[in-house]
Amino acid sequence: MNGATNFLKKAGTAAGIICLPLAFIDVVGHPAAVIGPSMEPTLHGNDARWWHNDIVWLSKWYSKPKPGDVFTYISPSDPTARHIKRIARCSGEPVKLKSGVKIILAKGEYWMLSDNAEVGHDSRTYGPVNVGLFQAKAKFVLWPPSRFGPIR
Amino acid sequence: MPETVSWARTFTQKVVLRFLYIYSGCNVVSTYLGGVVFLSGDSMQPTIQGGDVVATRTFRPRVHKVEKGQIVCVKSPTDPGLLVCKRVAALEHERVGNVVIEGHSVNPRVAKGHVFLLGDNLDSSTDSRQYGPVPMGLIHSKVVFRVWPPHRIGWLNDSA
Repeated sequence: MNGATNFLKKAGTAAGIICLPLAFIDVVGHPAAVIGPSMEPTLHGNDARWWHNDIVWLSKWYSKPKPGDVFTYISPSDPTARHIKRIARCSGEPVKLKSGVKIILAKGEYWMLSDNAEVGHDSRTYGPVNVGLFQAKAKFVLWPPSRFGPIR
Repeated sequence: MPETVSWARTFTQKVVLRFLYIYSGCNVVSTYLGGVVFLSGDSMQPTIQGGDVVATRTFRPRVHKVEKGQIVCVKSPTDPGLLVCKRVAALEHERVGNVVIEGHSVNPRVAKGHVFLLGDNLDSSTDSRQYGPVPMGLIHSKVVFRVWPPHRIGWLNDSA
């Protein structure tokens, strides 16, 4: 009996220890490497070797998204891809779609734009992004040390 | 005196640690495996009645595929705190089939990365006919099994 209880205790603790960092990532945040040049000059991601690119801190704790914030979100056109862009417009504001039609963003919709306007797929390609797709707010650049600091 | 203090400290440590383990465990299970959801409303009748409790499998886009006819829980496009439960009527690039949107009978094509959702009870459902096709990133989980009420326990998700 004692052996079984002991084993269960150890297994439970092991499971708990593995789950702690996973839950931390989900609840608090995690670092991530930037891929792609779409947020230049704010974020550098243009080297094929991911460890040469900027590493940012993505925080799951954030106040209501507002224009100027940089957020990661699940791409509306590809649910396996995460995009990182800056909020340009919020709900209630007018935007012009790719087709030329002018719309007012509905409640919970955001217009995301690349800092590097020539490249990057953003809302000009796939339209407004629903807040339900938002994953985390990019708050800090962690690497390289020369650019360490909050993201503005 | 010191012995009482350190006993209290170890005890608090144990309690806090155990709480953290349990919380993280629950978080990981619901993020990677699934959960149990209480459903209300009549938009999915007769398949699902208000008050049914179902077991769900969390949808992970990198691992799972969405299939037409599946019943899914998605984050409401109009109210991000809510989960809505609907059936997948059409996948990306497909045509929906004739539906009535804003009084007109149309047959739209679903955009890349999106799905078209319909409630089984068309008269009483707010779904993609009102809020448009929904990006797959909003899909939260797939409804798998009904656990309550007892006389209707059983598998769900065979295309009705």
